Amino acid sequence: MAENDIFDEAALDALFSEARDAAVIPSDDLMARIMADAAAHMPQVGGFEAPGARSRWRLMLAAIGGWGAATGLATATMAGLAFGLFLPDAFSDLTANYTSSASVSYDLSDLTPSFYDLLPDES
Amino acid sequence: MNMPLDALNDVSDEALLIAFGNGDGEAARALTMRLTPRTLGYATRLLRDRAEAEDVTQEAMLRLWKIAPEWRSGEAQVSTWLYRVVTNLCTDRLRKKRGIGLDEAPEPEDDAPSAQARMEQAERVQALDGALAQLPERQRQAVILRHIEGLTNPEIAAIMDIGVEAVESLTARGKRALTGLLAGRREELGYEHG
Repeated sequence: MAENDIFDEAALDALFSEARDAAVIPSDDLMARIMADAAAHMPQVGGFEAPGARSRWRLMLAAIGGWGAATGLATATMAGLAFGLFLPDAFSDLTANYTSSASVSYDLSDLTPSFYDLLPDES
Repeated sequence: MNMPLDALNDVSDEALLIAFGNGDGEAARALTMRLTPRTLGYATRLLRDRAEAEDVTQEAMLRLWKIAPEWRSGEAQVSTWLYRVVTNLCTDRLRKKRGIGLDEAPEPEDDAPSAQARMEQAERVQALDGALAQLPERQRQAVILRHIEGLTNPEIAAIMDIGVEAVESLTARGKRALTGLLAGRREELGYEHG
């Protein structure tokens, strides 16, 4: 084989590059068929909707991982709400003894040792 | 079609697929516009038959719509999954046609009528496709995915269900075979020596 006949790697890479640039354009008919399949297999009731807030909500839902993640989020939210609603009662029962005897006042001196207690025992 | 797709340009394939799984038609349109040309291009190169490639593309997209509600985030890339489906569908079709002879697929254009000092780009690409068609099936898949679709070796390994080293071997052998098949056509294809 003559040297000039060798199709080297650089020429092959140039061909690959041209092939990448030569995009295959789908026909309108193919696009329509694919969209029809999508409409037929779209999980929720209803056809294709105009872009709007509802669609953006769905994208946000998708961004957090779909309905599964949304369900987990809802569960956590309800748990938080339950804590907020019911725990104060429980705590109020627990602290009732303290609050009911709130008429007894404390002074700082009640909480610190007496100076005389610190003196050495003379006996 | 007048679609506000610009707003979805930055949304990942996966997020769009999950949105479709939640009933978002706009996401379906965006995915169709984004994935169909790539899928059709790959199928066309594997099958060398536009009508069959369109059927495979429609079938692959249909499978994508069906799997959307069960898609697990982070498990695979949508494009990789799709390439894998197309590869398998094309392999099935080519094996069914093997009676006709996969490697007897249309030869590259005979040089007699079109031998010009320089061929047009389309003719050069056609010559490449003709040479690709003469490669063994797995080599052809690996070379197209690596050098035309621009995927990484690990992505190709996942699509073809083989190891990365096997991908490297297939692409290296494929390229070597291509240079051999195209030998002698360098000047005809417009590549000056040196």
